[in-house]
Amino acid sequence: MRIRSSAIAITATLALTVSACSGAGQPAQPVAQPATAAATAAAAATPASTEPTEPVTLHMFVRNYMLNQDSPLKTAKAEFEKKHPKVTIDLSPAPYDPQHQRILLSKAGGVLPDMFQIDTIWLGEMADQGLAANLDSYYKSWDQRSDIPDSFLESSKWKGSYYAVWAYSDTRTFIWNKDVFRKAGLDPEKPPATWDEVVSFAQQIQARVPGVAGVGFPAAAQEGTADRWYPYLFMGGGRILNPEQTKAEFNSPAGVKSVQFLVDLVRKYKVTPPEVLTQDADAVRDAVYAGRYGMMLATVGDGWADSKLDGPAYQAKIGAALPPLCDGCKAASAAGGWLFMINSKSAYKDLVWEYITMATATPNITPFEVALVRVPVRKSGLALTDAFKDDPYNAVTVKAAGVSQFAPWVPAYYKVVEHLYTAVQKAVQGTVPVKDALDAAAAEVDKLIK
Amino acid sequence: MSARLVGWAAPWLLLAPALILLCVLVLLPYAGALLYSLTDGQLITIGTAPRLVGLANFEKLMSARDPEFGLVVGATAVFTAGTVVGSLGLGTFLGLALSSLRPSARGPLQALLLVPWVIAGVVVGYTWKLVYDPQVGLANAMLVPLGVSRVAWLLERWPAIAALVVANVWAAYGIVLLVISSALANVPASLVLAAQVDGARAATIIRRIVLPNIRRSFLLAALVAVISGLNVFDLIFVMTGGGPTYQTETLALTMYRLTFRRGDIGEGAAVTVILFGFSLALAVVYVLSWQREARKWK
Repeated sequence: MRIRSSAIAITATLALTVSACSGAGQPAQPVAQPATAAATAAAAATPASTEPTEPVTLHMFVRNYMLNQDSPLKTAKAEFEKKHPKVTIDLSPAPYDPQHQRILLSKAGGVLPDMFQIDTIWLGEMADQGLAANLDSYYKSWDQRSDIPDSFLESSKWKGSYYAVWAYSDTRTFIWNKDVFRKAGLDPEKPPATWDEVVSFAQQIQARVPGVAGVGFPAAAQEGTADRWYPYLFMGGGRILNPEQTKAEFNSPAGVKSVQFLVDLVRKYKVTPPEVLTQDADAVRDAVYAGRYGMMLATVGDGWADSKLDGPAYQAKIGAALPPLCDGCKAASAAGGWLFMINSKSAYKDLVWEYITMATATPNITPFEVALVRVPVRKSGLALTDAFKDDPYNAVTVKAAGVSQFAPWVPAYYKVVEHLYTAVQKAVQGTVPVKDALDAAAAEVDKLIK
Repeated sequence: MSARLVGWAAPWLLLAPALILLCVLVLLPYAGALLYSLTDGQLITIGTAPRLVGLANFEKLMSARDPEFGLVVGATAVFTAGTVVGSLGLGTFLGLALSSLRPSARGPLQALLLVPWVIAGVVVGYTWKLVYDPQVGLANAMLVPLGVSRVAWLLERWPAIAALVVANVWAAYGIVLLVISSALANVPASLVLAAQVDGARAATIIRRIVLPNIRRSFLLAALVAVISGLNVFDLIFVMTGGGPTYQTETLALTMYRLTFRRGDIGEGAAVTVILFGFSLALAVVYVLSWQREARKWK
């Protein structure tokens, strides 16, 4: 009897231990138009906040890299705490996925962030869940509002109301390794301007530079796979969702044509190795930098800071231009970026708003944008060509931002995107025809967003 | 009477701290997971009470098309079986080899061989991902000079699972080696000596004397190997992310994807419950085998 009860206890304990070890937004908009005249830096004039009588700590959930160098959050914190001696700003950093999870989980308890930083694709989700405060009243009296391009203003809204303040953006351009181009006998200063040229250049690279793949693109099971496909979709007039964000449209002829282009690079022309199915955007970019791929569509500036190259050295090694076009297509690219939201439950919304306006003011955030090659989201920032003079591709960046569109920021986007990249993967893998893969994904997406 | 009471209570009192910790840290979360598996819990509505949906999450999992549940279970089973066979084989072989060395050489070598086991799974994953890189990886660098064309190791389902198994065996054989080495130290030297005097060959001694003497430890090592196969997340996540197109996705990855990528806590919890069921079944098998062994030794 004793043995039997012990056996049951041990069985249950083992089983437990074994298991415990297991671990309607808005239609896509052009991102930004380059400022046509030099704008002066907007003064960070902010409304007077109610001064707390007792010591107060404001908790801010931010991205980890924002605290690394030239941190606009730290400079604003110093300025803010000097102005409000009873207030302490607590900046809590996190990587990408944990940032998303902890914001959502904060609803259930734990530390309530007064402010949190969001990826543009999370906006609808946070607003829809009541996590973010409506900022209409703040925007109404904000003197910096006119400094923000319309596209960024529109992408700060959910169902017609403001819920976020843009911090900085990023956009996609086509990059190529100039050493590889030279070895292939191509002009290193002349990128492919069309899809046909992409194929032709890639074939020449593979024919003349042993061990180098002509062109790369990410096709792993990650959001970046869809993100790097979007520019090809947008340039053909395609959209991810319809303007009302209620139906999938990525399976349109433009969508099929754009995915077919990627499939053909792998299967027809064989200028992209099938291994891209296991590579995310960073891996492909690193391969371009290392001269193992000739070219790719990338987030402008990514990898430059890590490469430790100065402007001229970077320009000598890597080229950047607008994405190559298909026949009859118009210049287009895709963009993302980060915004700040105020928690709807924060008792100190005025103070948080004041901090956000300090942190995002052009003079404060520009050094960070320069260091990480991010795209300014203010007209005054876009006009600061001198500040970005060390970036050899600032003009390309600004031009790309002008023709970029955002991914939809519907609440279910993180579910939607899984169907998108899986469809691209299946097509590239050759297991399903492009049209079928996109139609199947569209049917699933329609269920999610209806 | 009081002595009998103390006699009865003493073991439970001694067990109490561990049992309380087990209940709070393991049992309660599992009860929570079981409860959540019956609800439509979502990450984005975590603050509100979820709705009970019965077994709908399990039905959804079983009828899922992308990926099909059978595909995930198949990958989990093959990966786990491969890990068990590989780590038991390698760990036992190395344990036997080490036991034949002088003690002064055995210690340092054993410490060296345990290094992969103490390295974090993420690091192991990145290391092996680099090894399998089709362009610059060590695996192809060794094959190409032999005239074998470059292999895209992580591109197709079965080669990718095999590659993951090799990486996980490398990471997991250390604990098997440790358990087997301890057991080998307890094999009576007199029996081995007697066999040697009788002229038995090394293979016979291992088969007839050593292996029967370490059977109980072997069972424990097998269980640990199952754990390191069934519940691995970090290594697969880093090396393939479950792709391409879910081809290498195991139950642990499905749980993560559903819970944290899609935000479907209810469905993610259902996977946890299924994984728990598999673990429970294995634990039952282990305990029954252990009891049978115990009876033999009485």
